[in-house]
Amino acid sequence: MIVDVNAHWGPYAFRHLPDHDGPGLMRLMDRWGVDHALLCSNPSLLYRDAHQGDVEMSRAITPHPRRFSGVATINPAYPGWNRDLETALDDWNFRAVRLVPQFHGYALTDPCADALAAECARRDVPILFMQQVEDRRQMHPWDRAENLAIEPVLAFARRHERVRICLCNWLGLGGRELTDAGLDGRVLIDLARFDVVLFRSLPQLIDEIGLGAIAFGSQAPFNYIPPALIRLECLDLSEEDQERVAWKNAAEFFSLERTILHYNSQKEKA
Amino acid sequence: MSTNGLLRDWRAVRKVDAHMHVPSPLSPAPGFERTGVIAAADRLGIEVMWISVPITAGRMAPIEEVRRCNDAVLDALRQYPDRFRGYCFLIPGNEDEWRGELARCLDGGMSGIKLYNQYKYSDPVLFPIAETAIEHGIPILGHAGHPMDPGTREAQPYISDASDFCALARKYPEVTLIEGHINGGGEWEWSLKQLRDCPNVVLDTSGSNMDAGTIERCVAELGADRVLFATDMSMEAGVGKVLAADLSDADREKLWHGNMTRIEGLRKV
Repeated sequence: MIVDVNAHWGPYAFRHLPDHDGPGLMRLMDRWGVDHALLCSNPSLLYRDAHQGDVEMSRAITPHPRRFSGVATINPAYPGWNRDLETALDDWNFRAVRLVPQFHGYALTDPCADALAAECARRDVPILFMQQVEDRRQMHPWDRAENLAIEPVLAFARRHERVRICLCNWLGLGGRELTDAGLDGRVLIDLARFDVVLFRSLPQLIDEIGLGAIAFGSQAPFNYIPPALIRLECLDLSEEDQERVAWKNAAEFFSLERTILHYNSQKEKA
Repeated sequence: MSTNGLLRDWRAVRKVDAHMHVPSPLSPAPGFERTGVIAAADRLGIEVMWISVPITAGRMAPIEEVRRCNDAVLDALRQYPDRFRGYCFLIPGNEDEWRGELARCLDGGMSGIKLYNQYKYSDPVLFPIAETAIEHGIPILGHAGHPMDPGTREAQPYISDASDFCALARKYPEVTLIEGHINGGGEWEWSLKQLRDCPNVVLDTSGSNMDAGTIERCVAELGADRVLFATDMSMEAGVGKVLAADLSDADREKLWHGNMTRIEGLRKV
């Protein structure tokens, strides 16, 4: 069983993305043994009204609740975000909120970001941050979204000590800085870009912050999935610990247990 | 298939990494050891690695520093003769110096030339190096990229992109040029389109980026004979991309090892 916490739905403006729709994603997941994916909407990065990108994604994934869970991309600087959040969480059963200040043009220190964090804390909904969508060295001339720096995210985490945070597609995270920001026990980090066999940045991170903070993530369909599978396999974990990274940590963090157990039983019957 | 979708025997497939490094004596990195390189390759089933130790950031270093870098490669070749092949790092310009260094490297068992970003490869200062590579039948691996961000462009003003490789390749159709790391961060789709009509430029697939579709596009644009499996130290990414690509078994074998073995077989003297 594998749950991918770093997966994406929909076309991307600056590059052809193969397999970005629901059927394409399911083909990919079936090919590489991924059972369930948390999806963020690509159109939500660039639409003026980010929520419309989530509307499109919800229509595409609602028929497949056993395979997909949605992550709402909320722009707290845009009018009506509270209602968008309610719709995503209550009507569509989305499991988390993604903030992309680097695309939506606000700072995590802005009062609107604090207001959204307070609402997420009240509802116990995790907030997801991505360091980047694409490497800046290959950026399209109109793609001006800089990589998100970790410092404002850590400051945000310090100010909102009840908010759980998921960090996807990051490089260079140190366990100590996360712990110092009070993220022990309330952070989940995907392994998509961490090194295992040569520089061993992922084993080191696990030593520092614990296995419970690590989850499988591939950044599909931007990225090929097998590099993440290889990282998982090369961690050389016990079967029980490998299951935690492969899906149990994510299931617990995003409250996916019921969804996944149901899917699993269906699969066994099949 | 294993439960996660990877072939059970993915490690056992023969792999030759066309672009790898061993630690530099000039800038030791904590935790980066030669034995660690071998151990990592063993974990991923990489049999042979073509290694170099370049001087980076465009620095025009004295020949003594170049020799120290190449000494690290020569020492690695002596320690692991079955696991490593060596590229001799050269800084073009002072012809007496680089010719002497190349002779020393080849005598010591190296098999190719490595260039970094001290000069663009379209610069005539490269011409005698290309002529010497032809004479020996050895490949030139070049650091490459078409960076789109201002920071990288400023930091690497003389980085060569595919148009520079093509300029040198057209002047010397007998030379084998390897354009490094198609997934090393630059605009890879631009690079592929530039390279289509330069048949003596081959590409290596290394780099930390794992953009889905890259490998298939490389093969579709250039043909499977012009694409080499490589990691440039992004080891899981390098192996995973080639495993993932939608290719025929025969084409994938060419990438894993067939093409680099063919290039090695071009050696004349």
